[in-house]
Amino acid sequence: MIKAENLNKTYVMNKKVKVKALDDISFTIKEGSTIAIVGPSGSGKSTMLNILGGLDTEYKGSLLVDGKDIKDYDTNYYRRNIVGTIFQQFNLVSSLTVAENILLPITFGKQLGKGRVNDRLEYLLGKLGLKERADHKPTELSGGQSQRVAIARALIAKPKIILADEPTGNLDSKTGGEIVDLLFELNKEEGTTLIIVTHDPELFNNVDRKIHLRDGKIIQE
Amino acid sequence: MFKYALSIVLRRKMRTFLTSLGITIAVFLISFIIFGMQDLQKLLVDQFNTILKPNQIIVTKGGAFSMFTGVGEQTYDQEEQKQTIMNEDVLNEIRAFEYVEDISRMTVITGMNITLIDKKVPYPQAFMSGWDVKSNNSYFKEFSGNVERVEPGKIWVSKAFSKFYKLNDPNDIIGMKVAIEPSSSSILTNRSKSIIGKKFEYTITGVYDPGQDKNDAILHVEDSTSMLADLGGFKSSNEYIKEIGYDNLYVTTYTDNVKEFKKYVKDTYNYDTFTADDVISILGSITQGLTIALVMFGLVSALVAGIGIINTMIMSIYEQTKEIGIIKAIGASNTQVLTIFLIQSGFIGLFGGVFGLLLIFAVMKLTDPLIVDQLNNAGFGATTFFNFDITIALVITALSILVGVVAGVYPAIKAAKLDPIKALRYE
Repeated sequence: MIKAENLNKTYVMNKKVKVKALDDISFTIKEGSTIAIVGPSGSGKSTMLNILGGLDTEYKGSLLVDGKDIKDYDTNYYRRNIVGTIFQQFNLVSSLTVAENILLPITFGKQLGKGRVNDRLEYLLGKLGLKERADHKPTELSGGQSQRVAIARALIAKPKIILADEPTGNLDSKTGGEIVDLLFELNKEEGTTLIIVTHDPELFNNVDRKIHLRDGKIIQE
Repeated sequence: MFKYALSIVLRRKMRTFLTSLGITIAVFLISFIIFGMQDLQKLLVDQFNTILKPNQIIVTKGGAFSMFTGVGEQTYDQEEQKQTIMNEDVLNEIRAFEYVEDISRMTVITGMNITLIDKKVPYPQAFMSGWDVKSNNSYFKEFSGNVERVEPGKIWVSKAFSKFYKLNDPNDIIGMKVAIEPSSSSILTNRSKSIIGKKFEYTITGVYDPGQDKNDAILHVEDSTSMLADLGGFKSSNEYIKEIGYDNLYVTTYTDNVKEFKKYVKDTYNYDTFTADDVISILGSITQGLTIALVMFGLVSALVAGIGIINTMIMSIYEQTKEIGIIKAIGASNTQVLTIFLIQSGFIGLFGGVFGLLLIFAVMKLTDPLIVDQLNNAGFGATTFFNFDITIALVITALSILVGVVAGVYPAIKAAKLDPIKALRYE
């Protein structure tokens, strides 16, 4: 379970200009649920994602994951073991193969035992239809394939939470639809909590819950 | 992680190659100096070890070798250090000394022309000695002639001398006569009435190769002293020995007593001594000093190469900013990012080092026969010159990696400190 209480984040641009990105936000997300965070640009979506991803630790208020404040986790441990992130632009490492890209989080964290790494990789490659592409470089992949690699990379270490930042934003609607189906399917199978920042109606219409943000405040749930 | 770091370096092969070229040049320079100096020293040491065995000592009145053995700074008010004349009494005393196995006398004669009889042109700049040496002495690299010692009235000449007269087969020159006359042109000659018209004749009974030494003819000691007495206006060679003495003594001691003997002659007669070990240690310190000085130049190029690596790595941070953001977002710690960058810069150093060593290895292999040829023409008995020392090569490789890693420290810290949110936004 994720529990946010009175989250506040202010960007100080200079002495006179301060931007309140998150204004006293509180919410609770059940384990295994799917959440869409929607809102116009500048509403605080990215800030929220950065805080949830453990990238931004300069905020006020508390954010508990499984009853523990994320500030009490070791930052690297939290990023490696608790969350998996999917980016809009896929963000694959061009010099590594598909398999190596998927295994990158394991490279830094050794989250899985040696014997389990290969099984997990094989499972994800099969599940995401990437078996034939395991030894290909990202430049040889289509947009949809690239995003599937990114999904596999986010899932490899069996995180509790998947954060997806506009996962279909760079894809055509058909491919985007396939990715949406995959994300929901995997969410069910793996039991992860899926938090998606999106403008895509296909995505936010299928989630368990939507959080609408505007000017750093939740205006509608 | 290592594989990942390596994949980044190999992404820009040309840039990695060009950056590591700096290290290659530095390694090439430094190893050329180190290997070259080491091999030069080895060659000279080998050469001296064949001329003088460890228990063979040249005892000298000083002067010629004092530049090597080191005479302290002197001032006029210092008491003159008295040196005993090397006369028969001294000779007998030293011969009787318990550590001495064998002793032979030496005189040095310069400023004389030696001419093969019937030839018009004298052998130039001759350097002769009177020496009761045996023909099987290790001093001679080669000896031809059926005699054990040079007898009175006879002379041994060097290979260089016989070659000068185009008599390459020693048998052709053995039995011929030479005439020795004071040189009219030598700067070493004191123009004196007493030497005008003096001429000495000897028969050749041996031809020898003195290796690197300049020694064109060897006479019987008594012949040399009577020649010196005659030229110097002494009544007899006995008077010459009494007043002037021999120039050097060539002493063989029992193997373990070299030090004691050296101390004895220094304390008793104030003579300088010199052994192969002395020369080798002097050569050692000269080549060492030279090596250090030259390696300094090499290090300057290593410094420049290091700056090149710093530059490349900083550029690489700009290129990889977004990627650093990604790997941080998926769990790479600051230390891991730092390590990835240090592996990259260390690899550039390693690549440059190995490439430099391969280059020097190739150059050594290719030029070795040419250098050996040149050395043998100059009288060295060399079969190889360059020796590729694996230990040194490994040390140089390790140092190349170190230069890379040290140069990578600043960019690596810069990369590790990147804020992942800003880095992810970077385009």
